[in-house]
Amino acid sequence: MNFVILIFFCSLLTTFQAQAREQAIMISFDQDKKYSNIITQNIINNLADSDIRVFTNNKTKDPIEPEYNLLVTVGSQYAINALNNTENSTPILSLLIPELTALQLENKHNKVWATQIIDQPYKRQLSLIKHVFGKKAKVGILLGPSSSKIKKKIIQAASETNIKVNFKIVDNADQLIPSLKETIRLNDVLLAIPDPVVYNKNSIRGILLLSYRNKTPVIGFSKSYIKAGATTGLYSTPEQIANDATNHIKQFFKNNKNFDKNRYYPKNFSIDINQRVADSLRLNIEIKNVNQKLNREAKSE
Amino acid sequence: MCFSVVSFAALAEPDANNLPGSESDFLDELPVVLSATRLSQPLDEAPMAITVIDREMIDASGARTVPDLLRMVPGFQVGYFDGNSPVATYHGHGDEYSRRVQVLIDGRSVYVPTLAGIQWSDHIISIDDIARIEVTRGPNAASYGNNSFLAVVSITTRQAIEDQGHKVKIIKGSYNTREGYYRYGEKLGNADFRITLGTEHDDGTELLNDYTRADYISYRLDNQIDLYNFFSYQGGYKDIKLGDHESPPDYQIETISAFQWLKWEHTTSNNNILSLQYYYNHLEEDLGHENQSILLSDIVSTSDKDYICITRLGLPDNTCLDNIDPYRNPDISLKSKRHDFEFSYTFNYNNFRLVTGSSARMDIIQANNVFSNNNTLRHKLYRGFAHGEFRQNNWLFNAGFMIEKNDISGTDYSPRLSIIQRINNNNTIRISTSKATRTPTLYDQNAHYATTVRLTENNGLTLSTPLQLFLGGDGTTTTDIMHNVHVVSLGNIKSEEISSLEIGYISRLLDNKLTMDIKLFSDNTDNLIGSSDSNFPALIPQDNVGGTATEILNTHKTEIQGAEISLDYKLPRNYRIYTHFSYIDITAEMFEPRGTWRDTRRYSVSAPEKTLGFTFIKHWPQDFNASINYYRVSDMDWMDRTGSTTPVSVTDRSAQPYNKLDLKLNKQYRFGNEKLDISLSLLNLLEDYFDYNRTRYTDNTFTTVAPNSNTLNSNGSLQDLRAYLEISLEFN
Repeated sequence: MNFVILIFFCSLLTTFQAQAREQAIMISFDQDKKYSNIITQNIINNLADSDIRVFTNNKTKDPIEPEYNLLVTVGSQYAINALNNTENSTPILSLLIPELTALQLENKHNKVWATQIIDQPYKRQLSLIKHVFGKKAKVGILLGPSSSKIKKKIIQAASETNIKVNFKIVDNADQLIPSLKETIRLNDVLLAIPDPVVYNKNSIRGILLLSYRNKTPVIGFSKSYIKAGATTGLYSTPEQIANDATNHIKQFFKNNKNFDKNRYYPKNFSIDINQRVADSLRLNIEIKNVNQKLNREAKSE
Repeated sequence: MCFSVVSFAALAEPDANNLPGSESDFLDELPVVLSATRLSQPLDEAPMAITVIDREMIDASGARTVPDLLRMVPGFQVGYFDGNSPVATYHGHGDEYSRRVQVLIDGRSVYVPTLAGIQWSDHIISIDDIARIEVTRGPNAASYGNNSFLAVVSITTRQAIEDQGHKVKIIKGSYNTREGYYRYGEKLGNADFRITLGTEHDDGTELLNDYTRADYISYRLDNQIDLYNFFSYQGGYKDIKLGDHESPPDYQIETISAFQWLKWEHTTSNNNILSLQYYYNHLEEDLGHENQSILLSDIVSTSDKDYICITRLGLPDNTCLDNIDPYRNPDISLKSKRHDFEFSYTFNYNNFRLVTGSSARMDIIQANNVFSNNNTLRHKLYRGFAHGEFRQNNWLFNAGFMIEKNDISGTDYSPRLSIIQRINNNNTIRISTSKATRTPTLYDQNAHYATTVRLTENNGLTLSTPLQLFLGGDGTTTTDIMHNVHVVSLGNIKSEEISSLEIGYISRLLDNKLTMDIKLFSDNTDNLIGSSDSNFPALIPQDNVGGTATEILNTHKTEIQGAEISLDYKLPRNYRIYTHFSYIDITAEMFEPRGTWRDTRRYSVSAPEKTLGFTFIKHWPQDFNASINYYRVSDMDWMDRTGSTTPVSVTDRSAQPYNKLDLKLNKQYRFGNEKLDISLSLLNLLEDYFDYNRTRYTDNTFTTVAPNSNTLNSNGSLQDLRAYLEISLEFN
């Protein structure tokens, strides 16, 4: 009896999908968040001249109607809502997903899911360090319990960029300051890799102050981190994230509604510098030159 | 797809609460930690010449006091008035109290209004708690207010977050040096807390009664309340007992020093900063004179005895004072309280930056037997200031202005203007001009430091009539009260003034590893507050002894010219070479006839003509560090030098030329999160020297003779070979 119902339900779904005559996406986003609004609006603008119709939804539950071919979620919470929604099997493209979150979620669903990672590729970040501090710069990296899982990936990137990296694992918040002190003492640069145990709102004061006192520049992973006192760093603006997302959406339809990858890294990115901190650390960073080099490298990837 | 729907139930459902991160880690705002106020100002953007003494230099110096660190600053002079009174000044003009240098600890002025200067031993700060010292080499009253006359020493202490866990340190060394230090820091929610306890103990220098016994506690709480609001609170208390070498052997100066400091900083979303700061300084100083029994015949010179006994009383010999009973000096104590409230707003807009604000201060002073009366004196000060910085292409224009109104000298204006041209990324040239004032202090304006005692003779009998008539002054009045004035001010003291012109050149070479800083300067001071040594019966009728007293007056003006250069080569974690050289030429002129030519000469040699400093720091990978500090300093005079007032030769100087070589060796051992740190400092390896007063044994023609108690002409603080062993342990 159950088997008959399942067959009926599957047939219904197939029929329903076949009725979609045009290309349509639904963007699910949190309208209370400024960056979500910017990303959504930019995707809508970018797709205005295309055949792709864009619907938006800012409720936590995914709607069934109107019909659409791709669900684009903005932010981790909306990605999880979509992954947990058993009533909807539409392919999902999730934006603004940290790499560690993508890693954790990838094994916990069986949907057609691709993520647009918010982190900049490690190779690009190490390349930034190489261009700013020279290839002999020793890079210290603090990893927490979550980020330890990507250690191999960073080692791989370091090997490709020919940069020396030294890791220190921080198991809990109590170990942070001693580990940080040792890392900045032994290295020329501190590369911040997101991890809730290491880099959070409570720890930022200690990390930035101690590094500064030790004259060790910090490479931040967000615009806010650079504004707060990191010397420089790479990040993607909401507009750049929207541009990348637009390309992936177009590619999805071009590819017969299939993703060509399940993880996309930012193609468009910005480099920023905290000029006062750089001046104070006696660093001359030729931001335009570095940006050009990194963009050239990004295009060849 | 159907398969996925069926099998989904078998998988663990993703949960937003257990995610290792979300987009908010990347996109949310964060508090600005390294705001402009917390950063060390880049040398090539500062409106005036500055030197930054960073933690690496502090650690390498082996210094036990802040003045010792200032040896690293071109143009600075450091000396030990005695073992517990280090003194630092810039471009000379210095005496025991560093009157013309402003010192700030986290923006809190520690200039003592009663003493009119800086008393370094009273500061509640450990070298360990200092993050960096920024020294503005030149007058900067436009930024820091009056008394920022020759230079400004701005000490920034470490924030509590930087010192989590425990640190215990002991120092053992020469002259019975025993120091202990304990620090504990902890995180309390959003706040960070640190407490420091310390004890200092040493016997000063050879020959002098200049020991130090001090215990202190200080604490700090920093709280990042939210994204935009930061609150910081500090306080401290220090109990200090110092041997006083200027008085009989067992005199002891007892001081209580305390402070409270609060600061709230609000950063707006566009990086403008509103800051409110309040501090309270409390200082109680008891010179302990009342504890001493004085025999008049011991302290009156032979010539004065001749004058009193033979000339005035017509007696056949000068023994008329011999039967006077010992008396006790009146209590001399000083108490000062300072309340200071400051508001400032830093505004950034594109290429323009403006810092504006105002402050109000009240000094409440009570002094026994120092001022003309013992009433509580209040001194109010109001300030308004603005500094603008404008960038245009390769030019940086910086203008500052401060207006101050105070009870003593009225209204003072302190402007500053500098133009900086960045020739290219590595070379910057600067021209700056500024004016500053040093307001006379309450002491300068109201001094009346006198001994007033009732005299008896022959174990409590009433003073004999001739002596009573002598003290009566007019030959008919009798009194047994002796009123002897030592220092007096008749008021109307004007503010000291300085105008300064400097040309600076900063070059970064060898891939930024080498920084060269050159400064050429020409400064003019006027209305310098000095003193005269005069007989005063006419001016101070109540002085019934009629001896010599010192009157505080505006007496001199000077021209200071010269050049300074520093080179700093850094290879991080490997080695660092820092060297500096200064050439200073001072010309002094006395415009007040009552001033003394002695001071004219002293001003003109109050800075060494040439000073060379050299620091080499080496770090080895095995946590072994070594540093060498070498100084070669020409001779000079301090303004209050002891010894001959009429030296046989104009080349006589209180501080002789000297070579100072210090060595510090350091080894660190790490055991997980614990760190053991052992250092050995050896100071003055090349020679013994006197950097303030010399110990001199001379006869009455000031010819050097064999040492004995009768030929001891002046006591100096000998700087001889010292060794200090320092062991510290840090643990969580």
